[in-house]
Amino acid sequence: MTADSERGQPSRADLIEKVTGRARYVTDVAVAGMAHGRIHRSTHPHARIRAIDLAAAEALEGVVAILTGADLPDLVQQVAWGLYFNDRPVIARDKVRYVGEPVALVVAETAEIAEEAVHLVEIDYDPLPVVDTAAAALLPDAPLINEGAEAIADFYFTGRANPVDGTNIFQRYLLSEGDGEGAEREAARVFEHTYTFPGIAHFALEPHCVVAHFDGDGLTVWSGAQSPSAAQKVLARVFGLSLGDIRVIVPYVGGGFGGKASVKMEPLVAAAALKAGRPVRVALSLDDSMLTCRRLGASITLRTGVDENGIIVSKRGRILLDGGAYADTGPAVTVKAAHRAIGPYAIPNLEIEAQAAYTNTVPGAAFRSIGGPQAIWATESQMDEIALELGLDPLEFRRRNLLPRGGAIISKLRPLDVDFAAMIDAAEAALADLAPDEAAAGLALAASDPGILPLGGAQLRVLADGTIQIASMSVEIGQGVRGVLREVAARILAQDPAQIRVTDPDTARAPFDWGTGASRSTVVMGLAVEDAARDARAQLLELAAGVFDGQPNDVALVPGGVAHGGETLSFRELYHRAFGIDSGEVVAMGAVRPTREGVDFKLSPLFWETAVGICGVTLDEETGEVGLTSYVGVADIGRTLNPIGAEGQEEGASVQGLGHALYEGLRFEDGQPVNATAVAYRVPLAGDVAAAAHTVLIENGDGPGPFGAKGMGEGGILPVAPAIANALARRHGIRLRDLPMTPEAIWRALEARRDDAS
Amino acid sequence: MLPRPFEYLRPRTLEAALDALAAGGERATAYAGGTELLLVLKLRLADYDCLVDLKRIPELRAITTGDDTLRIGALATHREISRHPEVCARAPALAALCGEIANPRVRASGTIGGNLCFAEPSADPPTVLAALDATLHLASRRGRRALAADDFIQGPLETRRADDEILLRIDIPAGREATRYVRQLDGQRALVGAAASLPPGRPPRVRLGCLAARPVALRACEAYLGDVRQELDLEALRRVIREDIDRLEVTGDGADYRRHIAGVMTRRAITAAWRAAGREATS
Repeated sequence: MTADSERGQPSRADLIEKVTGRARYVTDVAVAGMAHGRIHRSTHPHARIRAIDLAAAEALEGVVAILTGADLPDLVQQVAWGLYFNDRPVIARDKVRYVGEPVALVVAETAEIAEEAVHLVEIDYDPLPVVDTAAAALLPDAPLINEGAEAIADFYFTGRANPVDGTNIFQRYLLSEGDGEGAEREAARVFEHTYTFPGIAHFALEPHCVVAHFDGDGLTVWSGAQSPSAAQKVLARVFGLSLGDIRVIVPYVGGGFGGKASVKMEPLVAAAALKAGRPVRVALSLDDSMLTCRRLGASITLRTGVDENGIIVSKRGRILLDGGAYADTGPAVTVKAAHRAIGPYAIPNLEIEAQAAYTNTVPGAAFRSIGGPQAIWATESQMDEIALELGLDPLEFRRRNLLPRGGAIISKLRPLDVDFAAMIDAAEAALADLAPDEAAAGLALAASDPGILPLGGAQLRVLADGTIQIASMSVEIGQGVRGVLREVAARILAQDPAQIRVTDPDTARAPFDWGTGASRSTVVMGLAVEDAARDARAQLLELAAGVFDGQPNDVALVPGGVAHGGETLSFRELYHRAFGIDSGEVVAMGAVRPTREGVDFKLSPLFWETAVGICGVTLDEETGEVGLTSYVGVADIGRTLNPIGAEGQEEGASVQGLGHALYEGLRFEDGQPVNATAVAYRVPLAGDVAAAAHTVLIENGDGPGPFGAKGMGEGGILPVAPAIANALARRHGIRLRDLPMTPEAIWRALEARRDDAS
Repeated sequence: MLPRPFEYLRPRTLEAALDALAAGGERATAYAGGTELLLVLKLRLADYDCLVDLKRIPELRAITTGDDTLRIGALATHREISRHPEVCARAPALAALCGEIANPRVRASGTIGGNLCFAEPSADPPTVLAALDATLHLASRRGRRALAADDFIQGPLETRRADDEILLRIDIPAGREATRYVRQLDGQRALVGAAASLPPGRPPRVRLGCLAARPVALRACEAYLGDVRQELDLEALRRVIREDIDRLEVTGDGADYRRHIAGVMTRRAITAAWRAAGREATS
C-alpha cells in the first residue's frame, strides 16, 4: 500500500492523463504554419556522395524545401556536431557512413507529399570499402570512417575521449589497479573466456519526433529529448545562437531508454526549419528510430586468476565495443563498460582495456545502464564458469569474493554502499517463497556506477489557491519522475500530492539540469525539489509568523495552508493578510551542485546501483526453446518513494533484460541492416515474462537523495542474461557465450553436448 | 512509412466489388483486414492504384453449416473464427490456431481469406486448411470456381487467384475433428508449422508449412498412418518423418535447425491428432 493510495490518490502524477489519452506528446504539437519533413536515407553503408538530383522531388506540388549537405555551409555556423567529437554532420555531406543516414530532408505541406518526394530524390553514390564489425575496424588496412573530427572536452560528460590517431578507435580506456599481469603469474588457475553481445534497438514505443520553429530571433524546439539542455547547447553552437534564444520544450515522452538522450534529431529538424522558413515537424517511424541509434555491441574477453582457495587474485579484460558510424556518447559507454565488468568483488589486481571503434552501422548511443549489460553478461557468466571448473557452488564462489560494504571496487570510485551478502540472502528467501523447487536456479550480481553529474535545479511556486507548481527539466519518460518529485515536495510541505503539478520541462521556464538518465533524477532533481520545498516552507512560515505575530517555529504547514495554535489559514487567506490582496505566491528555488555541503558529490558515483537476479528456466531440449518460470530481482535503492513505480521500474528493466538475453540483436550484413524493422525485430512479449516474478527493494535510508533514496531504474536490466545462461549451464549442461540465446543457438549447444556425451 | 496515394472503393455488393476489380486489372486489389496489405503498402513493398474494400459485403463474412460442410466466409476475422461454436466443434485445430495467431489487434481485424490470398510464407492457416482438405471458392466476372486448399498457394506471396478474383469462402468437410496443428514461433511468426488430420474412414493428411515456399504433403507419414491399425509406434513414426523431411529442399541460414524442428513439429502434430482421434501410442 503506497502513501498515495492511502490518501486515495493515484501514485503516478501522470496516471489519469495517460489512461484517458489526454497526455500530450511531441507528436500532438502543432504550430501555425507548420510543414512536415520526411527523410531520404542512405542505402549505402559507406560511400561518397557523387551527386544529388532533387529536380523531380522539387517539382512535386506541395514541396516546400529540401535540405541536403550542400546547404550546410551557408545555413549553419557549425556543420558537424557531437558530444565528444564534432563528427556528425547535421545532414550527410560528401559521404555517408551507415545505411539509414539522412541524406536529404524533404519539407512539404503534408507528410504524404514529403514521403512521395523522398522517393523521387536520386542520389549517385561512389561506394567505399565497408567496415561492418568492430573487429574489422581494427584491421591495419581498414578504411577510416571519421577522419580528423574535432575533439571536444567537458562538453556533456566530464573529460575527453582518448582516440587512437590514424585508426577507427575513438576511445581507448585503460583501467589498472595493482599488478594484473604479475598476480596472474602467481595464480593457481587462470580462466579465459570470450563473450559477445549484439547491438540492440531501444524500441521505445514512441519513435523520435521533433518540431522546430525559428521565431523572431530565437528557436523553439519541441522534442522527446531526455537531455534538453544538451540539445539546447548543441543547437546554440550549430546555429550560432545564444542559449537564451533557444527554447527546448519536452512534453511526455513515450519511452527513451537512452535512445533520446544526449542529442539526436534536433539539429537536423531545426536546419530544415531554417531552410524552409517554416516550422517543421519530423515524426519518425519505429523503423526510422531503429536506424537512428542503438546500444553498442561488444566482444569481451576476460582472464581471471584464482588462488587455491577460490579467491580471485586478478582480472584482466579486453573489451571491444562496436560504436557505429558516429561516436555520440560511446566514449562514456566504453569507460562504464570497464568499470561495470569488475562486479561487486574484492579483486586487488585489475587490468582492463576497453576500446570503442567506428563501424559503418547505425550509430551507438546510451542505453539503460551504458556498457552495463555488455560487461555484466561477460563477468557474471564467467563467475559461474569458474565456479563449476573449481567444483564450487557458484553462490559460494561469489560469497568468498564479495566486496563488503565500504570496500573499493576501484580506488578512484566511491566505496561500495550496499551489503551484497544481505541482497543475496533476500533473493534466495524470495525465491524460496516464490518457487520452492528452483534451488539450482541461475544467479547473477551487478554493481554499476551511475548518477552522472550532480548538477540540476528546480523552481517551486506555492500559488494562492494552494496548488503548487514545480518547474523541473527532469523528463517524464514513463519512469514516474513527476510522481517522485511531487511526493518529495508533498512530504516536505505537508501537502496533498494531488495539489502539486510538475510542469513540462521547458528550458525557458525551468532551471538547468544535465538530463534524465543514469538513474540520477530521484537523487539530483529530488534534492533540488527538496531544497526548493524547504525554501518555500521557510518563506511560508516566515509569512505566517508575521501574520500571526508569532515566531516561525510556532507555525506549522497543514494541507492547504498554515496553522498557528488553534487557528488555520488557507494559503489564499495567508497571502491576503500578508500582501493586501488575495493573490500572490511564494517562489522558491533549489539547486544541486558538485560542491553541495554535507555530501561528497565530487566522488563518483553518487551511489552504487546494484542488482541481484535469480531465475528458474524451462528448456524444451528438442527445440531449444527456453522460458522463464520464475524471476526474483533485488535492488538496494536506499528509500522507496513510490513502491509501485519502483517495482515497475525494476520489473520493466528485467523484462528489457530478458529481451537482451533471448530475443534481441540488430544484425548487419556488409553494413546492411537485416532486421531493423518493427516486423522483423523481436522484443519480449507479455507471454514471455516469468509467470512468477518478485522484486525485493532494500531500504536502509542510506542514499544521498531525499529521505535517503538512491537512484534506480537501470539495475534490473543487468543480471538477467547471465542469470539465464547460468541456469542453462547448471540445469542443462550447456554454456552460451553469445547473445541472444536463441532457440537455434541453444539447440546447437545441446547438440554439441550430446556429441560430447556420446 | 506512408503509402503512395491510392483510390479507395467500398462496394456494398459482391457484384460491384467484382466489377471494380475487373476494371482495375492488376493495379487494383481486394482489401479485407488490411493487416498485411496496408503494412506492405506503407513499406512500399507493394503498390496499387486502387483498393477495393470488401468489408461492407455481409455475405463474405458469414460462418454457416449445411450438408455437413462448414462454410467460413473469407472475410471472417481470426477472432470470429476462434470463437465460433461450429468451428470450435468441427475444426478445433483451426479455431485454436485462429485464437493464437499474431496478436489481439491482428486477430480482431485480420481475415482468414486475406491471410490465404496474401500467401505470406510464414502464415499458419494455409497448412491447417490443407490438412483439413478445405475447398476454396472464388468468383470473378468471368465465373466461379473451386480449388483445393492444397493447390491454392503456389509460392511466396503467390496464389492461383487471378487479379480480378475474390475468394468467397472456405469449405471444410465433415469428420475433421481429429486434426491438430503444432508450430514453433520465432516472435509472432511461425518458423515451422505442422498439421496432421485423421478423418474417420478417409486417408490421413499431414502437411508441413512455413519451411518451403508452400505447405507440402508428407506422403511417407500419410502412408504409414494409413496402415496403422492399432497402436502408433513412435520409433517407426520418427523414421517416416525423417524420410519425408530428408526429401525436402531446405536452404539458407540454419537449414539444419529448421529441418530438425520440422521433424519435431510433425511428430508432435501427429501424436496430438492421434490422441484427439482417441487412439493409443507406444514409444
